[in-house]
Amino acid sequence: MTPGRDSHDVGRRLRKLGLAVAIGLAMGLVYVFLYAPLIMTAVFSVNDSTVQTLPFSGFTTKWYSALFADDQMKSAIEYSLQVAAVAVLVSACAGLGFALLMHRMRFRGTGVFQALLASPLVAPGLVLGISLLVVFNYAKVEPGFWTIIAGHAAFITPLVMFIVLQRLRTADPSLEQASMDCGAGPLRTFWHVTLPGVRVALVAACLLGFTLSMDEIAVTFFLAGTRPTLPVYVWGLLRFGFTPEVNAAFTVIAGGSLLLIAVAGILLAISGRRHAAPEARQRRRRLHLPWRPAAKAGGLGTRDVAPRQAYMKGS
Amino acid sequence: MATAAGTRVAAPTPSIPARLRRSTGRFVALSPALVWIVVLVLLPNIFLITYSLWKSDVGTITHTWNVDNYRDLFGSEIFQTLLKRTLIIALASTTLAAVIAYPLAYVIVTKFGRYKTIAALLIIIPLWVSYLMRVFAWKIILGEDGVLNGFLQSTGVTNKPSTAFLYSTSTVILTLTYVAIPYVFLSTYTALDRIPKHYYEASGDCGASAWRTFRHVVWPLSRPGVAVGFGIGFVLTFGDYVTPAMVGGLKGTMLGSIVLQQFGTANNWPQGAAIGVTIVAAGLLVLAIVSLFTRLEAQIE
Repeated sequence: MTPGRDSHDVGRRLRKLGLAVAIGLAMGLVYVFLYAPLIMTAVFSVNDSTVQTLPFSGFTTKWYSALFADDQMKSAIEYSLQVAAVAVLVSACAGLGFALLMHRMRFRGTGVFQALLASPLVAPGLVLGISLLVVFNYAKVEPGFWTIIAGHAAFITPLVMFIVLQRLRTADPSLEQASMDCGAGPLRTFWHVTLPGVRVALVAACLLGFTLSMDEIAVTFFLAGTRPTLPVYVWGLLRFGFTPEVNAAFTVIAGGSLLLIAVAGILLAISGRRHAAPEARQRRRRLHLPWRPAAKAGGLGTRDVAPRQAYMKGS
Repeated sequence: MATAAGTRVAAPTPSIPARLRRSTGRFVALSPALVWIVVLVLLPNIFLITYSLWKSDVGTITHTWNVDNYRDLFGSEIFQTLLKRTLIIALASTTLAAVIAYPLAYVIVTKFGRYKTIAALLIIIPLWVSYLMRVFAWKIILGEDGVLNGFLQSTGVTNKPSTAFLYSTSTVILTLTYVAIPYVFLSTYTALDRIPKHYYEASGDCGASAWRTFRHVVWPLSRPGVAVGFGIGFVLTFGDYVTPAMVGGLKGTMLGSIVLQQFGTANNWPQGAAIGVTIVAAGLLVLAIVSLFTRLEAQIE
């Protein structure tokens, strides 16, 4: 190689490196942009000053103590937890049911059906809030616990539905057929085959829905009535004066949310991997069917294969 | 076909009662979902429109049908200014979000290999942190005693706190860009991730430069994802009231803010409902325009 060619190569490599560094920096900036506000809030929740500014004036936990001594705040947190739990319970049942329905029934207009169900998920919270409010107002339903549940379930249900549907589409339909062929009724098949198959996805969807419900403000604001959930209560605090206690509350809730979605993410990843390769899955999967015949016998290899062989004999 | 092992297979030409029974069974199975849609989706929207056509007499709603609410709205200069401003804010922040999110998604999909899922998740995770917290944090950063002012003073760029950062239209645009990035990203990332790796290679093997590959292969295949992301981002930012209330001040007031007012202190629900309907209509209009761009020129096999 001639020296000239070499230096040309070096120049090109340098330019490429420069470009990579520039792209890396730009990406880093976006991540900073996304996380700086969250980190700021966490930092100021332990800052020993009522003014939110740099430099940092010392570490304190007094805002957290204040938070846990504040009865109104605690009551709001408790209420939010109740709302989220009930909303998720309702959404899990409805979302699972709708997912099964969408998956089983092939009828015209499935797309319209899904779009209508999903519309509260993508509509602005304001619109969902006021539109539900006018219905409840017309039906003379006082805003309160159940109106909030309705508002939250309206957007958590489609979330659950789509996550479960995703899992159902990658599931192996022969398992259900096998169960039916072995004489299990639809209910038994659902309980012992279908449900275990989507269980992980369902739990993950519930965790995601729970954090959404805990944090929801736009819809809840209109439907809350007299007792505020945590975000609604904090909204009030922020509008009329403010203490760093709010930062502490935000940090606690955000920490809890991140923990829940981490668990949800790990669950989804695990179940995704289990369903990804049918070959690998078949080897690993052990069915826990109460009526399966003599599956316990045999060594490592036969234990896993036995249930499927049993199905084949049965049909 | 009817001789298949299963006994639940319908006869080739089912009698009319049998067909009726089957469709009735389907209807019964579907009915909970239908009820759900009617109660939580259709009725609320119908009632929102209905309320917007009623009249408010000093707080009490009378069921007199009229279009005065809309006539008042579109005749009012304040409303026109707000509508224009809300449109500008929503378009600007969603466009900014798309301009940031698309290259980001592109780099993550093409360069991050096995770490791309983690990198993508890190962008989406803020969606699950309290909306109020994310918006309020900008108040901490941009406020008069805020982090930015503290930083500028300690580095000697300015010598007294500036009030210019908070309570302006650009503050709202900045914050809503921040809010919209994960949504636009999610949609563009999904679209880009679906393009098989060998499409890039094939294009490169045929002698196309990176730019040509992008222009003629990647962009046409990912454009629908950008369009959907843009649509969702626009709808969400257009109807927002939390951000203008927190960081907007007077100059950052949006349509959502006056809806809140009409349903709250002003106690004029029909007027508020009319603005709500306007927001929905604007959202649907933009979604309709956007859907023109969602058609793929070719299918991914």
